[in-house]
Amino acid sequence: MKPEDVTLLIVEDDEELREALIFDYEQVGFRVISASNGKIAFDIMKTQKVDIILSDIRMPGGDGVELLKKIRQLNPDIPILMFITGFSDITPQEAIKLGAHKVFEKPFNRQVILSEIYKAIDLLVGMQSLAGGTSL
Amino acid sequence: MKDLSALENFKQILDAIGDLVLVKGPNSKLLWANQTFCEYYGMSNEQLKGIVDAPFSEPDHTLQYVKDDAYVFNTGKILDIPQEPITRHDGEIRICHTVKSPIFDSEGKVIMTVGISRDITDMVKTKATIEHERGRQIYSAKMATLGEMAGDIAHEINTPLAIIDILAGQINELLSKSEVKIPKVIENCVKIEKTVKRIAKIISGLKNFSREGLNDPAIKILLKELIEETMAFSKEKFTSTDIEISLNFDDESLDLECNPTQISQVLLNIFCNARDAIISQQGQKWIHVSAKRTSDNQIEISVTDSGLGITKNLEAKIFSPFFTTKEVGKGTGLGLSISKGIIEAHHGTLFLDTSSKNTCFVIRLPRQTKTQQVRLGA
Repeated sequence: MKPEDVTLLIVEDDEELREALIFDYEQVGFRVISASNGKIAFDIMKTQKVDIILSDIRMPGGDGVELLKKIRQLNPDIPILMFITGFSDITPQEAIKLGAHKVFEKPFNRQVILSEIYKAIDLLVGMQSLAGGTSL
Repeated sequence: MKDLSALENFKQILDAIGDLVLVKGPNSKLLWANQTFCEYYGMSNEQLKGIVDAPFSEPDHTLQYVKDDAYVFNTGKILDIPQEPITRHDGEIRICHTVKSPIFDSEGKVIMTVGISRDITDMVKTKATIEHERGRQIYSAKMATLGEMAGDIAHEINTPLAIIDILAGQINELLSKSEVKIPKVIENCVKIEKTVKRIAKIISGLKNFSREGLNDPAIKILLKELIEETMAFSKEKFTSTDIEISLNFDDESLDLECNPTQISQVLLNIFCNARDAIISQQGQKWIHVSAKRTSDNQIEISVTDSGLGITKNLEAKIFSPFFTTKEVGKGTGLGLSISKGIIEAHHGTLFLDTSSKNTCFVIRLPRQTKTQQVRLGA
């Protein structure tokens, strides 16, 4: 699976952070789409094929936890990497229990996230060879 | 004959009183004590007559009684002592409310003093318990508010921090790939990333005030990490001062099962007290923190500062709720009493090491807690 074959969905309400992340992953060569909250992200997923999701937790108009729950009801396999910001958010353990693939605390290490994305791609490749295609 | 029987009647009345009644002559020499006093001291009137105080009394206390008697004798004024320690014959030190009054002769000269003491030990203890409980409630409420705020602050700051971190990383990478090398800019990017981590650590220290943290179950933690994290958080309080801080660990891999949020609060409280105590001191200012394992497999954390210890008369009071030596509005007087409560809830002890030349607080904790859940106020 080449980087340009991977579609990354970034869900983050902060515009600056969203654009910084988009820049990072486009540099690597991924196809990147983005949404400013969980609700918009879910609508995008209904119409487009998405391979990996990177999502914030606290967002106005549709938070990350809701998004996580809704996606997991329909698709148990798609890798979802989550960011947490404050300690009044859910704990990493709780997020994992809800089906998050990995959880990162902001500010996070870019290299670590990138390596987790590559690991998730490997996992996807493995799964696709078994089934084929990931969409809702 | 008639006079003598009147005197007997008065003695009977005085003996019936439940308070301690004591008549003294010049130089604090005992003349007469009522029955309650005799029972309290375990001595008869014959044994008491002519002495200054019982041999089992604390010399410091006796000295104070003599001073107080002299005051009444010399001034002819009534002396009210709201709380006075008196040693009972069984060795227990009780607290009494004492009033000493002068008795004059026909010329108006003081010839005797009469003291009436009421044992108020139980009342004092009950009051202290109530105050302690009140202190805990105020503290919990304060912490709950702080906790809610801390979570929001963390959220608001961590996102912009992530942006700064990513952008600095991107600049660094772009420059590394470009033809023109500007080492100083790359170096600065690395510094920005480092600074972000420093801020993140401080924010993470705020977690120590979060409400959820207070009721967390006991978990195993690395002592070194806990102390360093608390230090990083309080560092802001120290940076503008010339206080030198040093950490010394016997064994860096020492672990401890505890509620880290609570232990961190205790440490923070002791660090801040040390800072406030020595900040305006002349000469070298330092705080030394050390941690070791004791022979009975407990963890001992000592926090010593360059202060010259705590005077003996304050020693007993520093752990009482609402007691503070700080100026009005600066201290709540709750820190050490709450800290003691937290450590005791962990089945440990918090005390002042009086053998140290400098001010030294010691926390001793079992490496494993007996209870799964360590709750504040437990």
